[in-house]
Amino acid sequence: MRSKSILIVEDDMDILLGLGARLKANGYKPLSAADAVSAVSMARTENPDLVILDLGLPGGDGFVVMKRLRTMMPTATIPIIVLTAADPFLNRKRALEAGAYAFLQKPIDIKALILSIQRALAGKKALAGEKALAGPHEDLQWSPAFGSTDKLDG
Amino acid sequence: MTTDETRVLLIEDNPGDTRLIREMTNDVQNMGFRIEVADRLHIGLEMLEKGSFDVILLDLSLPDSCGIETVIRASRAARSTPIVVITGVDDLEISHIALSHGAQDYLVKGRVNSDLLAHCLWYAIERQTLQSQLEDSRREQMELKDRFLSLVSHELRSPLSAIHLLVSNLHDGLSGEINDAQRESLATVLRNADRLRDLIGELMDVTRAQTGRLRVDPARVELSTILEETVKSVAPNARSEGVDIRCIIPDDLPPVYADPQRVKDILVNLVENGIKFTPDGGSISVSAGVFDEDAGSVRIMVADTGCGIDADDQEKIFDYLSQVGSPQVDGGHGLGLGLYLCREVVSRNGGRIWVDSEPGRGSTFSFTLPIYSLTSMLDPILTSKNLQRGSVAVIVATLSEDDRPEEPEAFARAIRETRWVLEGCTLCDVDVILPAGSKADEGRTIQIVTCTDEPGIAILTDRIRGAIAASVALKDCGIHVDVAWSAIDTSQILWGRSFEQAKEKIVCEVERLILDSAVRGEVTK
Repeated sequence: MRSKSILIVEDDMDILLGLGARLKANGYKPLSAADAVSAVSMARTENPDLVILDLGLPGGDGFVVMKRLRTMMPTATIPIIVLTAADPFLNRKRALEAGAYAFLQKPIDIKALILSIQRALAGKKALAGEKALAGPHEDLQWSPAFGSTDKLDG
Repeated sequence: MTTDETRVLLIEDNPGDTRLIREMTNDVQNMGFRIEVADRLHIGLEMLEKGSFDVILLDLSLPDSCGIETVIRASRAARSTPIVVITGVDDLEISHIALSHGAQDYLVKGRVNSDLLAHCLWYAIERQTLQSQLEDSRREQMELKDRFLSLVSHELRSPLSAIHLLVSNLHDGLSGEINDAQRESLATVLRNADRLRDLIGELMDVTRAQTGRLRVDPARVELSTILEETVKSVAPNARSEGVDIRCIIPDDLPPVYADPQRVKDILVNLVENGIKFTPDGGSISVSAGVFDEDAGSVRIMVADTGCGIDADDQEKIFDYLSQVGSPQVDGGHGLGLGLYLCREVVSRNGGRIWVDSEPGRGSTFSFTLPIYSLTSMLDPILTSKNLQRGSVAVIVATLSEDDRPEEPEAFARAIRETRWVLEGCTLCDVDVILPAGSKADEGRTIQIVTCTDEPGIAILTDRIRGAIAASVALKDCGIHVDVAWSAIDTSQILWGRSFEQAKEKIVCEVERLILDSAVRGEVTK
């Protein structure tokens, strides 16, 4: 079976590098775009199976990219996982309303990201933790329940 | 103001008094007052709508309104225009109530001369301006803090993210084989990156707490489950430190009304603190009970046999950035935010937190949470400022099948979806969505209690209707949702009662409305 391709839209080269290596190790084919414009054109030409999208991007923020991808075929149906360091308090709800499959917070929890990718590619619904907090009471976790025990072995 | 004329709206039905006031203001040399008169409250409020006035001079006894009601109605309409009451009734109590309902001053006819009147009017305008400026600057500061939060979040998390990612790649051997010693070092780096992430999370929560953005999502909570779970989750940690931990809970502990996740956070924080300060061979006990001293609450206690806290420090440890105790104590909340957040969260849940301690013998941290009841659920509304000006309304969403036969599962899903939609429409500090399982919510109705004026209720109801109509998920359930509301005029209830009595009365009225709506919900089925 052809390995699934994942477009990483991320302007931080270090994260791009690290995430690419991780996805490759998990059997995916990583593609990359570092700004909004190339993200949209890349998505059109390569038609990836999934997009991992940062919100803060040069040349238009992630919401612009999402809107463009959502309004044209064939990219309209590609699942988008938003992965951002932006304050979820201000952005989570908006991202999910704009059609994101899941909203994940940086620093990246590798295990959660891989799980989310697997579910999205299998056409399953996002898990409660990725989405259910999208109500008005979002992002409530604080230390020590924040998840200091996360294991990072993806 | 001294050069421009001051526009005064005089609402007064007695022509004699009107003439007197006109004369008084004319006496004030070079200080132009322009007075326009309305002899009925509703006429005055119409004029207010059309023209811009600097100040309202308001008589309390008018043909279409009298007493404190006049102030309430006028201040509702006046918004930022200051109101000065001028009346024949010299009553200290009424004057207090008038001021608390938004009047800037209270003058008694016959005791006012022209100078006094002029000064009162100007001071009222000045105070109102100051108040608005204060409000504006507060809003600005809140926005600034929000921006700061966003910046902290992004600028600190991004580099941390790269560190995390690349180190975990190394750790997992993605960049080539590594030996055990190397893996261990990398695991240590990751652990510290996690700690940094937690600290950022704490910092953000603290900033949120200070801007009133720390949210709680209260529900009916069985404490025994949470207490037992928490103790179980920290037990391995306690064992490795040589500390014995146990949990003592009476069988008849009533449920509380609080945010379960937050309660867990507080408990974990207190217990982990206890473990940290208790030497090898010591013990920690977690218990709960109902005490006469904390009426309407359950008390939860975390007692340790640790080093204890000096009497001087017992208050301070809950303060922002307090650094009580030995800084060399390993790990944990180096910024001193843990207990501060505990206090904020406890008070947001309607409880209080304190510590009893004897140095050398141990400490007991106690906090209270309100027992689950309608009163505790309505607490945010009952303490709201709006209560004095508005109405309390119960908005009822009643679910019924469109045409498909009834399926219990579809209904459960629909109830959940409806709650979601409602949450999106309401504000957590102002509106209360009654939790499922209260006696009001036997299946097919969901109640929201809100406190605002009548236009506010109408707007909220419209918003809810719109959101329900737009919800694809609800359509998929094959469910139809009706939205209706009924309101109680709180100013009527507040009048002549102490605040405590009024609160009790309001809770009774709300309960009546809820029961009523539950009955109607049954009927429409």
